[in-house]
Amino acid sequence: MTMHGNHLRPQVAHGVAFVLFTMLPVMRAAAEDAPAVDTSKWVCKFCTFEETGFSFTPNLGVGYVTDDSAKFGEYTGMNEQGAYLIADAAGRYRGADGLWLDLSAVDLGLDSRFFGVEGGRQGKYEFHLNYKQLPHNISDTANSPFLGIGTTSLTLPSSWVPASTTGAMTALDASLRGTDFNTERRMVDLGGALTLVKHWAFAVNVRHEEKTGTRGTGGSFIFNDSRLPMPVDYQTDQFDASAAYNAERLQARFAYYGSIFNNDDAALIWENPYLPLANGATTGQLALAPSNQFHQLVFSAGYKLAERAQVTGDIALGRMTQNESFLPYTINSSLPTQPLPASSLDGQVDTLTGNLRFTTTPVDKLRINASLTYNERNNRTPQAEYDWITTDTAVAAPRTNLPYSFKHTVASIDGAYPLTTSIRLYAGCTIDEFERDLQEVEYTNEGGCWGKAGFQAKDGASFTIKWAHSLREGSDYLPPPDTPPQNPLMRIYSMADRSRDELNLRIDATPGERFNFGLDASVTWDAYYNSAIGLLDGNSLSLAADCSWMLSEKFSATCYASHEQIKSRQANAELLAPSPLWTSENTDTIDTAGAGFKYRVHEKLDLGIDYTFVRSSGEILIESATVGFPDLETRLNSARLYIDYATKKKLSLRLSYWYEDYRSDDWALDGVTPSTISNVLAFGQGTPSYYINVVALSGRYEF
Amino acid sequence: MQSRKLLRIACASLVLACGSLASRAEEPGYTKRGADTCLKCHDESSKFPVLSIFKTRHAQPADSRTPFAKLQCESCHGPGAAHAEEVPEGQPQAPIIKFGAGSRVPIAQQNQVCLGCHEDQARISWKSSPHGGNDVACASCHRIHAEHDAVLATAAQPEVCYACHKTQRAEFDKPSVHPVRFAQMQCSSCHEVHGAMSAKLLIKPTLNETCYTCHAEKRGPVLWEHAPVAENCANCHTPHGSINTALLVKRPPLLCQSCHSQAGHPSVARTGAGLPGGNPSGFLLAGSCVNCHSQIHGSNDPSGVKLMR
Repeated sequence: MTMHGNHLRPQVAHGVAFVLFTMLPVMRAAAEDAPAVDTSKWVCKFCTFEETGFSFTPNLGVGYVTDDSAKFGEYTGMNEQGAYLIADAAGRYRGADGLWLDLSAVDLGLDSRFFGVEGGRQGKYEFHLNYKQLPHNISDTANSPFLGIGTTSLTLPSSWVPASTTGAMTALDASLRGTDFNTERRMVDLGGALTLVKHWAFAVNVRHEEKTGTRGTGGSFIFNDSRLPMPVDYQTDQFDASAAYNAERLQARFAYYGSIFNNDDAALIWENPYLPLANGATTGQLALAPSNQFHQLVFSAGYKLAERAQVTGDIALGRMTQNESFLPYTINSSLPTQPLPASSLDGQVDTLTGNLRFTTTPVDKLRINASLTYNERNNRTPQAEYDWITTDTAVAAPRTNLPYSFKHTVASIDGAYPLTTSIRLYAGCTIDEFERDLQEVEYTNEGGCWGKAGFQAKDGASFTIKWAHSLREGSDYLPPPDTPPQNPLMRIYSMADRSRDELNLRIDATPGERFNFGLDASVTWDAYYNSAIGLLDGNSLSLAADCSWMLSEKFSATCYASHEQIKSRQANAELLAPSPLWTSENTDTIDTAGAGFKYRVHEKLDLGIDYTFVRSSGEILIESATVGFPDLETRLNSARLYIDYATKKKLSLRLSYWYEDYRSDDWALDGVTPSTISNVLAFGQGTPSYYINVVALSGRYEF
Repeated sequence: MQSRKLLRIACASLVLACGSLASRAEEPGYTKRGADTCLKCHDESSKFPVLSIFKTRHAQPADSRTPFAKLQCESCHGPGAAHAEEVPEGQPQAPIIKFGAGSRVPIAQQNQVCLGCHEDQARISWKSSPHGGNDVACASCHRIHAEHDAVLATAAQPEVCYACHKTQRAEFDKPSVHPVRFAQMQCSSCHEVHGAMSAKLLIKPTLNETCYTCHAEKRGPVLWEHAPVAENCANCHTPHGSINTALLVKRPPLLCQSCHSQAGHPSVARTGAGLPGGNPSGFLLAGSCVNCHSQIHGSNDPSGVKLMR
């Protein structure tokens, strides 16, 4: 074949033309897929990639806490006066081909210590192993006469003299012993992830948690009650495993979650400190949390239907089970009981949760979301009639258990549209349906809509206003059979007819590059307009503002303040008849303020201060009362000062001082000694108050 | 003649096709030396220093997914040749894809750069989520160039979230809280901020299932359920903070009397007359209702119908 003159055959020319035409899109695609950029000179000689090797930066020192306070060290472990060790560390290894290992240690000298190691080969596999302790110091001022605290059997001293009232318990004062209430969680996490196969990711995590300690509970014989130290000895194992597929248009994940809770303590038994009211009830027993399990399969996926349309969804199938052996009706052998209908509950709850969302931009810039959510709790626990021995003291009428189930469906649609370059409008509507069985209201329907407008100024300032309104209505209010009669005018607030309005304003401004200011204001009005007894209405006001100011390269400051008020009114009646009605008004008010400064005195010396102020009050007004309540009060002042000094390139020192004082008044605890209430043997712990200073010095060195 | 005509068409097509390839190679204006071009200006003394990125996972050439295994800085910031050109003093550089505050690049476009690699199983519903749907930029929360991204650290993460969620900061300052301000929990302990499909972006499909991850002892099922507990923990508890013990939305006995109107002690008004100094009442003081009804979350005791055993 030649290309000269008329020697080219027409069919060949046709063929070449055809091939080239058909190749056009292929070649264009090749141009897009191929490395179109000439990177042959991209040697990255200025790139300061981490070199292979190990670095280790410990931070060691000592701190001193000037006083004991469970409240001050509630979650940190700094609850006792004295010195404590400051021990933190960070380690880092970087090897060839993406091999990495990070070590982290935080607060090793405290009960809130953490230690973790994670590593892997980036882009191939990863693993982690973490250990974490979390204390919860609840009270260090409680007292109890019981012996055997921390066990499931509480006894009284041999010298104990039972009486009809706490004031008449003559051996009480001599028997009281200080009892700290606290729990501690110890958690180990082990997990890993694989990304060896393109588009696929696999992950697994196992967590073992132990929670031990003592906390308060209560046990009574009819109306004679004792506050009881309850042992906590829980183990929970949680398992997560997932496989995910990620491609440009489709992302999907299939996962399993399992949670196995174990409590070896089936019951708490205690000796009755009162004279038995009847039937020789000298010992009581109550059930502790039963061991149980939950297993769940979750599938979630998202698919890009088109460039501007995506559908996402998930479905979760779960099952909760519990089948611990029942305790006997009573340990009071003088009371006659029938055999239990079963030796254990065989409790089973099946859960089904699903979401489906569709997001699209049908016309330019108009974005629409539509979603449907379904949540079902199907309680398959068998029903049976159980004898009822009330408080190990008397035989009462048998009762049938009520395994609650519900179905909850929410459908919503919302959209967003930029009216101009600086104004964006949003709006949406939601329908929320709830079906319950064995409860007062079988069906509720709540519909609502909202609108929002956002204004964006050219200097970056923005203003947003949002308003929402919803209305909830339900079917007839019919208390289920086999339950104690309640006032016919009662409407339980979670099921009551309700009108809700919400207004939110938000301002963010950056007047100048160095100063930011933000304000958020929200108001909510709830009206339970068909409730004569129960919650009548509630409203809240929340104002929160913050600022940051970068005065110079050396000086920066932050601030924040808030005011919140939560109000509600409710009514009740002392008889089953509508009157005499009493109403109460509850007002919680919380004010906070804080400020922080950072100042670089010179290149080796940094100074920082943070201050926080919190004040809260709770006012309760019973309208018919001749004697009112004092306000519930808390007040916190907290200030932290630190000075960082870099002595050498790799060594830095930190001197810190932390001052905090906390005052609280709570009429439920103030002045309530173990014998203040004639029929409640209380712990007698007061409200927490403290004034504490913490001084700490530590040094950080980079090896 | 027809053959010549076809030949001309074929040649024109070839030129078009080759021209397409050539223009793709030259456009859209990448730098000649990649990151080295950028780093000549963006060293530690510049207004926008970037070298700390080399201590992050994005700067790992051995991982084929990362920017530094692809087009280096320009993987995310786009072609930078024009930006790198010298301009007369006082004149601005040509724009480049910039992220975060002050960027004039539409947030959707900024985020699409990130989603180009990170639209995976953790961000399946990002675009329809409250964050994605309200045009929150990835760079609003993440500091890509920082060695330690604050939002990934337990102690520092809440401050990042408070920048927008201002009322939540105040809630965690209240007397009864989950231990966020103690740096023992973080917002992401409960919230999957990249777009879980659950309400409030919770890490589990429902609120109760989220709570049970730490409070499994309250999960049951038990023989005698307390209906509002099984349905929604938030009927009685507010998750961030409260002035009442145990994060209760209201102080007992009023909280309980919001729902219980049975004849006898549940519906009796409790007043200040029941405080110490008056006639101290066990219905009001110490644990109030839970002095006796201590199994308030449900009981598995056969005689626990009143949640007293």
